[in-house]
Parts: sequence; C-alpha cells; structure tokens
Amino acid sequence: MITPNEFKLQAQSQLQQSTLLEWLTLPEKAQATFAELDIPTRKTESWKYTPLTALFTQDYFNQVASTQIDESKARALFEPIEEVSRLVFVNGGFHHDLSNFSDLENQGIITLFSNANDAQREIINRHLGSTFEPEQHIFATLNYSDINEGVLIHVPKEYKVEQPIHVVYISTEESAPGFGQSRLLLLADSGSSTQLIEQHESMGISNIFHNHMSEMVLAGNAKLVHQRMQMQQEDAAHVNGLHVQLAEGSHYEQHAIALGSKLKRNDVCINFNGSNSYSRLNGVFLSKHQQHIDNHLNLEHGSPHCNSDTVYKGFITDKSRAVFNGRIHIHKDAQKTEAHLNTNNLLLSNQAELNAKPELEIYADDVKCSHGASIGQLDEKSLFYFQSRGIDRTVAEAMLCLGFVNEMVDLFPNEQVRSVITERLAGFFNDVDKLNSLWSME
Amino acid sequence: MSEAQPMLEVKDLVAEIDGKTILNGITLTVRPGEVHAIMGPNGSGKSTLANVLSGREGYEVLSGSVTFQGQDLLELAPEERARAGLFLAFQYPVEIPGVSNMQFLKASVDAIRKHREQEELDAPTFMKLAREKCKELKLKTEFLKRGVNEGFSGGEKKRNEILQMALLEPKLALLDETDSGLDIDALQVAAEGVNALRNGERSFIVVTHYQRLLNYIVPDFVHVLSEGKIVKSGGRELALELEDKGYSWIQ
Repeated sequence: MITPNEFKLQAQSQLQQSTLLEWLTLPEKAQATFAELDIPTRKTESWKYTPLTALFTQDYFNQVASTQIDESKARALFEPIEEVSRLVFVNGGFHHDLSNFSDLENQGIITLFSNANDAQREIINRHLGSTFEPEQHIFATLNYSDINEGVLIHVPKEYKVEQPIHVVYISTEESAPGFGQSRLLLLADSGSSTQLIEQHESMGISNIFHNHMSEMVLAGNAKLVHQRMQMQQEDAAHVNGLHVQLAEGSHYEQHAIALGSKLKRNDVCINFNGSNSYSRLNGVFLSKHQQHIDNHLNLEHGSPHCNSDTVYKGFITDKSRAVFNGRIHIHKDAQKTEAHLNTNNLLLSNQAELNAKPELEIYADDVKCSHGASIGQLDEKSLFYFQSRGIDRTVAEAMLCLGFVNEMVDLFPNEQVRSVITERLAGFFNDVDKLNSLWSME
Repeated sequence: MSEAQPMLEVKDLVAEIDGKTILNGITLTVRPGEVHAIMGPNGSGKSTLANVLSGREGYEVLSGSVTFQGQDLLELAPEERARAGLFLAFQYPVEIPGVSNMQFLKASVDAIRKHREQEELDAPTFMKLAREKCKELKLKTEFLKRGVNEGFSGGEKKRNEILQMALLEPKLALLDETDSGLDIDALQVAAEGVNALRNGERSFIVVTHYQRLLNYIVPDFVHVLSEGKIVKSGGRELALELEDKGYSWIQ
C-alpha cells in the first residue's frame, strides 16, 4: 500500500515520460494544477464516502497499458449495436482496426486529436478543459496532464447526425497493473442533433485504472441524446468525468447504467448557461459483492427558465457500497427554474451501504424545485403476488430486482443498447437462470 | 356430486391479525364444481378468509383446519398452494413496473406446469395462447407488454386477474371482491371470463359485498359472514333476500 502522496508522485513521474501532442496548450496548465492539488482523502467533502485505497494497492503508473487486444472478443462486446459510427479505444489508446467512422471523419464531424488540422487544433485548445473548474476535479487535471490522443466530435449548425456515434472504451486483461486515459470533446453547433453512445468495458481480470473525461458544449437549440454504459467487470478501477454546457434552448438527455467495480466514480456536471435549456438525467447503478460505486451529480442552474429532471435508481447488495450525491444549485438570476431530482434505492443486505445525499441550494426566489431520496427493500405485497401465482420466492425476488432496474433500462432510446444491457443484467443476477428466458421475450 | 371428495374443507377456523381475532370459527365445505358466494358487511372477515386460504403473511391461524383435496393447506407456502391448484384473484392487484405482464404470466405458467410435470411452453406458443385469452377478455394485446398492472384501470386490473386464472387453470379459485370498482360493462366481461371456466371439476369461492355480481356469476350456495362466523347459509335466493333487506336483519 502506497500513500496518497506517493500515488501523486508516481503519477507525476509517469507524466514526464509520455509523449504529448505538442500543439496542445492544456497539458502544461493541467500539470501545474495537478502539482498544486492534494489527492482526496476521506476529509475531502466530495470524496467522503469513496476512499481511493483501491488505487493505492498497486503501482498503476508502472506502465501505460498497450492497445493489444483479442479482436474477436472485443467485437462481441459492441457489435450487437449496429448501424453506428464507431470509435474504439483500448486502454485509452485508439484502435484503428476495430473502429469505423470514415463517413463522419470525411465530413469533418469526427476527428482524432492526432489528425486535427489547424482550425480543429484551435477549437480543441479553446474548448478542452473549459467546462469546469480544474481545482475541483483532480482526476480531470490528471487526465489533461497527459494527452496523446482524444476524439473531437463537431456537429455543424442545423445538422442532424442520422446514425448514433458509438464510442467504446475497453480495458484489457493484464497481469501487471497499468494506466489508461481517454477523453472526448463534443461541440454541437446551434440547432444540431446528435445521438452519442459511450460504452465502457473490461475483459477478463483487468488490472487497468481507466480515467476518462467527456466534455459537451451545446450551442443554442442543439440537442444531444447521450446513452452511457459502464459495464466493466468488478476488478476494474474507473473514474469518469462528464461536463455539459448548455446554451439557450439546448436540450441534453442522459441515460446511464453503471455496474459496480473495485472503484467507480462518476461526476456529472450540467451547466445551464442559457435560458430555456433543459436536461434530463436518468441513471441506474448496481453493485454487489464488495464493489464500490459513487455518483456525484451537480446541476448548476445559472440562467432563468431552465428545467431539469433527474432520476437515479440504485441497487445495492452483499457488502457493496454506493454513493449518490445529487446537487441542484439555483443561482440568483435563475428565476423560473423548475428542477426535480429523485433517487430511489433498493438496499438488499444488512452489510450493504448507501450514502444518499440530495442537496438543494437556492438563491432565486421564484423557482419550483423538489428533491427526494428513498431507500427500501423488496415490497412484501409484490412478493406475495408472485408467490400466489406459483412463482418461487427466489425467482420472485430476482424478477422484482430486475424489474426495479429495468424501469430505467426501458427508457434508453436505442433498442440494441437496451438488449445489450438486458443480456448483461441477466448475468449480473446470474443465480437465476430463469430470468434469461423471460427477459428475452418481446 | 356430493359423494365426491371435497375440494376444500374448512373446520372451525380461527385466525387473527395483529392480535385481533378476525375469523371466529369458520366451517365450510366446497365440493368440485360448486360455486360458493361469501357475503357480509365490511369488516366481517370475508377478505381475511381469502387471505388466510391463500397464505398471505401476517395472519395467524389459532385453531381449526383447512384441507384442500385431502392435503393440509395450512402447511403449504403460498407458492405451493398455487401449484396445488389454488388461485386468488386479488381485490387490489399489485402494480409491478419494470416486469412486463407477459414475463409475469410466463413465469407463473412455467411454475405451475413444472409442478404438474407438464413441459414448459416455448415463448412463441405461450405468447399466442396469452394473446388469445386476452381477446376473450376484451383486453388489448399490447397490454401484455406493459408493466404488470402498471397504469391499468380498475377494470383492466380485475380482468388481468381473470386472464391469469384462465392461463393457470386452477382447481379452486377465490375471487376477492372482483366486482369492486367495476362498472357494469367491466363486471359483465369479468363474469363471462369466470363463467367460461366453470365446469364440473373446478370450484369457486366468490367473496363479495353486493349481490350484483351474483346476477352474473350464479352461485350454488350463499353464506353470510358476520363477525368472523358464517351466520346463515342458503341457496341463491339468500343473496336476493340480502339485497332486499340489507345485512342488519341477519346480525
């Protein structure tokens, strides 16, 4: 076990060895910020319930993981999702042969940072890292301290991207610990419409610590539907930052599912910068065994007449631990805001732990806001209903659990995404074979 | 008919919930093919009887016995009772979002068929069967895809109960206030569904407050429950008399 400070020193020495894209201005600033910041401990408010000890048990910075991968196994993870423009990153590195996005690449809509022309370099330098305060997000500064690749999605004005853009991040099975980082910058020009699917996976026993950043900048009346799947195996370590800027009249919709891991941390920050913008955040997380999963949501309502609807559901069992922190911050000028946030959780074991904390901070006087949190167990009335139809109690329990989760899964707009999730969930509840056949019925 | 082994024999049944005695010595014999109506004012123990028979938790049987086709019913878990052929149509069917009606129905039919040592129906065969039964009960087939009872109207919920009964083909069905909350059209459809399942083998216990339902599901016997006891039994005409005079003349 190393100390947090040793972890930081190891990270910094790793950063010195990496090859950066020389035209990027951000890494130098990020390195300076990272050097100033302390690795969070339990005394750091936003990390109070998420110890980083999982990161201190191994020397992840010993090596940058390679992009070697068993291609057929990798394809099996994402190919059920068809008719998409696809980019695949392996341990943070771009994998050319598994990717296929030439149509949008030729149109200049999707560009790898390493292929960016002068105009695109300028855009990346202007926007990357612009959507958040670096001091508040140490893993984002770590991410941006070392940028040798990334993806820029730039959707032109009034343009509707017909097929979803599917970005897949895979951590491979490694015997030695390793480190991988990736990042995505999406600029949606005014009136454009985009569907983005981000899928995180790991293969076998993965010793990779994967640190990911996504930044979205939506111009006036732009629309983004964002489906996020974090389906890594439980030995993965993953930290993920998502920052969204909403200009006037823009619309952001997230549907997220996350399975627990050794360490999983999600930051989702929505900034309402223009009036009449809207965000819907739907999320569901599941943890079992000794997994840990942390969801930190922050909705910064900085403009008037913006609405947000947020619903997160959690399923926590065995000795696992989960965190839900949902903050709505209504600024002084954000009159006529309507913001609702709810989290409903099933806590199924005496040794499982959930720290749920909805926060409302309101500085405007003409707003409608609500928040709520529930933590419960399976409903006895519902269980009896199943049993009274001859269904075993264990099957009834599993069906109710899956039903609880499925309510959120049903909201994912893409049918193929839904069926990939459904298949994985039957695996998550693997004690009950019965579920597979029932959930494959359409 | 009277020579056959009884479907259900309830003897001196005393049961309580939360320390309060609700059933106070019920004795009732139901033979195959018979339809018994249990009537009575609110709080007389009608629903408690249905709940105790189906094995709902929270009720404690203090004395007496219940024999179902020669088997001690009270020894069985709720799911075992269902597999043995007992069916409870709920007064308040539970809403289960996230589990589709089709999944729920398939799981229950699979469980019952497995117990009867019948082969599991494959998904297409089952779906075809479920759609047919839906049509008979004038339910839109899209309703099979919706969450169990989720957002269903009162009438749809009750018809969903009858649909489950039709698919599970029980030996004894307990209908707990199936008429409550139904308008006359919905009541007729539900009653037709029940009548279609009546035969010389299958028995019914129809629990109701009002005699209205019994115009459509005509009982062989009517029992009046008051303060946890059957205070009067008779034929169909007893129900009409009750409608005329109310419950007070019996208490």
